This record gives sequence, C-alpha cells and structure tokens, in this order.
Amino acid sequence: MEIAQVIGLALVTTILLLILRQEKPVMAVVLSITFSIVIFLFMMGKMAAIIALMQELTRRAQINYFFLATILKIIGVAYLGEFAAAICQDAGEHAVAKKVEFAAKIIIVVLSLPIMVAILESMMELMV
Amino acid sequence: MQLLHEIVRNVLVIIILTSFLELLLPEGGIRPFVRFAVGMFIIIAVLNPVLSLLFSERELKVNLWDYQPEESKSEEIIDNGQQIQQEIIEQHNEIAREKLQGQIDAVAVLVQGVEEVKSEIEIGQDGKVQTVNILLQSGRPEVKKAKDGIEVFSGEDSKLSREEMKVIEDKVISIIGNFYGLSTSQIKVEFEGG
Repeated sequence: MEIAQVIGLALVTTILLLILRQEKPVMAVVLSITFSIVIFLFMMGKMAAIIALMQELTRRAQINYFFLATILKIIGVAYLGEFAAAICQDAGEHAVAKKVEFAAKIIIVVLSLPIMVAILESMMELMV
Repeated sequence: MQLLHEIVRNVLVIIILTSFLELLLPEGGIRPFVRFAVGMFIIIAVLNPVLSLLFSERELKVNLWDYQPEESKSEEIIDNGQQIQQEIIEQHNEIAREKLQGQIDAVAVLVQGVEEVKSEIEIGQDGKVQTVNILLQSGRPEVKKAKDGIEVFSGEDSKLSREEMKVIEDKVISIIGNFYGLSTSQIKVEFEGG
C-alpha cells in the first residue's frame, strides 16, 4: 500500500514541521523541501508508466509525439512551479512564491507558442 | 469513408487522452495556463486531419507539425551521410599521411650517416599510424688525406659496415618512435641496396 506509506511519511513530516517551525524555522523549510523531493522520487515510476501509456495512445491515434511532449513539458513546468511556490509560501516568502509562479507561467506560454502560431497561420492561410 | 473512420477514431482517442491530461493538471494559479495549452493541443489534433482532408492541395502550417519522413528516405539520407563522412575521413587520413611522411623524412635525415630517406606510412581506419616503413640511403663521404695533412672529400660515398648500419637503424627507430609515440615493432628500417 503505497498510499499508506505516503500518508505515514506526510503525518510524520507534518508533526516534525510543527515542532521545528517553533524551534528552528530554517530546518523546517529544509524538511519541507526534502519531503517534496522524496514524494517526487517516489512517484517517478508511476509517472513513467503514465507517460508510456500516453505515448502508446498518441502512436495509435497517429498524433505527432511532438504535441504530447510539449504538453507533458508544460505540465512538468506547472508542477515544479507549484511545488517551488508552495515551499516558498511555507517559508513565509510570498513574494518569491509569486515570482516563481510568474516564471512558470511565462515558460508555459513560451512552450505553447509554436502550437499557437501554427494554428493561427493555418487559419490565416484558409482565409486567403 | 476509410479516412473519415480514421479521423473519428483519432478524435476519440484525442478526447480521452486530453481528459486524462486534464486530471494531471496542477491546482493553483498556473492551472488556467496549462488548460490553455491543452486546449490548443486539442485544436491542433482535431484540426490536423480535418484540414488535411478538406484542403489537401494547400500547404498548411498545421500539417507540417504532423510531418513524418518516410523511413526508407531517412535510411537513404543516413547512408549518404555515412558515405560522405567516410570520404572526409579518408581524405583527412591521406593528407595526414603525406604530412607525416614528410616530417619523418626530415627527422630521419638528421641522423648521422643518413643521406636520403623515403618513408611509407600505413594509417588504420581509426586514424592511427599502423606501420612506418623507412628506406634509408646511407653512406659517409670518402676522405682522402693529402700529403700536408689536409682532409679532402672526394664526393664519393664509401659503403658502411653492418655494425654502422645497425647503429643508424637503431637511432632512426628510437628517434621516430619517441617523436611519434610508436613502438619499435611498428617501425621498419631498410637500407637501399640491401
């Protein structure tokens, strides 16, 4: 039961964080980051399975893998941005968290630009 | 009809796929941005087959995203590329061989007793020197002593003894070996006329 492991780890971390926030706030942030990384690594195998399934589906649907790769990159950027922003907010650094979110949004827009340009240009071409 | 069947099937897969992707989206302020990108993915995935069907004669940008080169063509391109690469390597090896031969000739001729040198180098596929064959023309000028003790060079070479030839051979092997990092077994020295 992996979810039991995750819940157990989360509860222990939460209790430790409650104690550490009073005594040593810096260590609390370190613990929070460590917990994020552990959960991320723990889920890596599952994520690989999901991505493999999506690859198979796109292959069957004859969609260019480039599209899916871009979307997966965007989702990855979004998750990392969210994680980092949450950690910064936990540490009380709301301004830094906002900047991380801003950077993630910009990167997502940049990644989706090629798809948008392709659609727009095709639309223009059809209107001629 | 077959094409229409394929389009409907693909659109269904795309819808299932994007619904699945929607589940993966993170919560928070970034979510609308990711939804926008996913939305565009759906548009392009649906637009692609439809536009290809309706406007097959036009070159649309969307179709370019779906371009997949034929496997046979790509293999041909790779073969051509490898052939060109091989030719470049061979040309480089030839130039390197000629330059190295010139250098070895120039170095070997500095050894005392050597008058002329002709070297032949064999370079392997990996670009490393395999063997060096050196043909030496040796001899020392014959000295005739005049009556008043003045040494006169006659211009004719006198033959070297076997021991002297062995010394010259060892020297040449040692110098060339040290200069170019070759083992003694890779260098073969011969004297002109045996």
